[in-house]
Amino acid sequence: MSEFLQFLINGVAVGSMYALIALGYTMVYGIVSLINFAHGEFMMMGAFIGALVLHRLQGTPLVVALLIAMLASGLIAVVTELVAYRPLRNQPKIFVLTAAIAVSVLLQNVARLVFGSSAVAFPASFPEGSIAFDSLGIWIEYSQLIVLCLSLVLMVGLWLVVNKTKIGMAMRATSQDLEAARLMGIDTNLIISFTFFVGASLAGAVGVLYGMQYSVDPLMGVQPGLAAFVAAVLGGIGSLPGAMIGGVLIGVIENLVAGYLSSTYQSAITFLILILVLSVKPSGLLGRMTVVKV
Amino acid sequence: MVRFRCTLAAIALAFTAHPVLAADKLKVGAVFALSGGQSTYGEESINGLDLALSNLAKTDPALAAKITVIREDEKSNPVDAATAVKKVLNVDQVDIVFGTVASSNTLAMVAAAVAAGKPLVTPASTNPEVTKKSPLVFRTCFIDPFQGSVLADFALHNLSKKKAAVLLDHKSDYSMGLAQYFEAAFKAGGGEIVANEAYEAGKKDFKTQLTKIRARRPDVLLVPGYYQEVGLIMKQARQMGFQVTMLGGDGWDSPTLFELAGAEAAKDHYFSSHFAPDDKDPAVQKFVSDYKARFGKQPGAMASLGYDGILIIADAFKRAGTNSAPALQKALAETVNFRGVSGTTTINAQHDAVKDIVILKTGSTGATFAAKIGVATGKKSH
Repeated sequence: MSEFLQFLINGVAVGSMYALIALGYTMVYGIVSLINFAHGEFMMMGAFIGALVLHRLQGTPLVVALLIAMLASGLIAVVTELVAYRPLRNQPKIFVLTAAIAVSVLLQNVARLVFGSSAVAFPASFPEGSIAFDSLGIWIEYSQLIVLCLSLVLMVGLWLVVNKTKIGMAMRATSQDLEAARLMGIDTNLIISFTFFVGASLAGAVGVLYGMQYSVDPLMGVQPGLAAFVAAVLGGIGSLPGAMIGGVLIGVIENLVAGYLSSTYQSAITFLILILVLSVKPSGLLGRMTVVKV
Repeated sequence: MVRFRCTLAAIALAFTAHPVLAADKLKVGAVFALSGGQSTYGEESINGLDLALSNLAKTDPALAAKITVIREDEKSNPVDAATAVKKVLNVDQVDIVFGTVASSNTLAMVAAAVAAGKPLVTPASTNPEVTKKSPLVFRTCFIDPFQGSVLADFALHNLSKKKAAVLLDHKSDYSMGLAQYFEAAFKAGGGEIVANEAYEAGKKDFKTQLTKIRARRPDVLLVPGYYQEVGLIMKQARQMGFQVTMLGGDGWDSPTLFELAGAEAAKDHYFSSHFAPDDKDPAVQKFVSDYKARFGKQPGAMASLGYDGILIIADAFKRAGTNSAPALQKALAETVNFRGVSGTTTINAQHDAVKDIVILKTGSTGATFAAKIGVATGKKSH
């Protein structure tokens, strides 16, 4: 029982980071029907920028570094959309999907050139140590607690922005029908840029969280990026609550499989889930079935 | 006049190319990574080579005078490695190729050397495949599986550990080879493997694997990976209060390991490597002080391998008495108990080196010499 709880805690901690990344995938998909494969790289950029700020300006409070990383990742995403995706918006979908893969490789190599290819430790780290619950035989690390709390704050913040603000309403409108939203006087280009910004800044925040717990390197976005993509599909791509649930589920399943089956299958299970979802229920857990109108 | 000069040049060329006249000279084509991602390895190897030749000039000036070295850059990739080796073989007409570090690049060089019928000696490529391609290929370092069995002996006898767990990278041949030989030797020596877990390079969270391993209460944990993951494994084990001695191979040998793990978590683990700069052996100490005096920094494992490699070639050339490929090949194969700074080398039937392994103990910021483990060579000394 205590092992099960421990695997669960580990899973939820990792899963909540997947969830934050998955939100970006699902938001962008919801608005321009694009699987942005460069999304994991926005997370990596956030990690490097957070590390750079803490390294160069010693004494910067962590929250400030986190905010700068979020802002920078968001801006990189806005520029990416402007330069690489917008010109292709009226082309077949495969064009812009290919562009996303190209941006992903480009950002990895830019990071390699600028920051070097080997992994570096984050300048500051979470306070080490954990709270042990001896009666249950489990422990929760401070870092896991911080990740959980911050994820919760960011998710609530996102929910408020989408559901309680004017720009959020415009986002929902654009997501429902881009043409109609434009006819209603919504600047859809601005809304698309804003969506990219918000999604990538969440990824940037994860980058800092991830970097602080582990390490920072140019390829760090690949694995969590793929896991979050599967999470978004599992939750139902386009659905915000779906992405959150999907992310946490993927994290938990990964760790339960590693815990009870074999750690050899830890990565494989993610993609098995992807295949199962796509073949059994392509709309995911909370996604709506879309009927393609001819 | 111009024609006259050309004729002279032609005569000179004819003479230098003449095998009988040049037979007592050895031209070595040293191909290493002087640029690109592995350039620190290449730089260390070449520094080791330079130091070895200037020391040889003092101890055996006659031999040193006969050896010339042509350097070429393999630019840290297999394609340029193949080009570089063709250049030294076809343009410079070297008698023997010396290089390189990364096994995949050495493998790319083997074909050209074999086609030219010249021996190739790599000082540092540990992949077993390298020497299986041709009897002309030699290596002067140990191979990956060997580290595994030495680590098992060390855990059983030096650390008196009986229950081991393994956490390996299941997508790396290096990691799996090391683990496989460790397990076999550890069980044969009366030990027990209590847990066997895997991860994948690129993953950064290993807590569930460590949770499982901890539940089995091993007294030693083998982590045969590279420093990028091993550093994080050490850090996470400490975060969850899991105190266990970890063991690993030469993939740990990087300062980055200590940065990623953090000072406290990095302490008191052991890994095998080629060389320890603080080895008390006087030959090692002399090498370290010579190296520091000349290059202004501490030598790494690659420097020691470059140093020994070129001296093993020089030794074989001296015994062969000629630069002909078959004679060099025979002499290299007959290398027995060559005493170098990275241990005593004997070349076995597979043309791999059988030599001592150094075990280093980690501290908070770096590793120090812990033990040197010799091997039965199975060959008699000269």
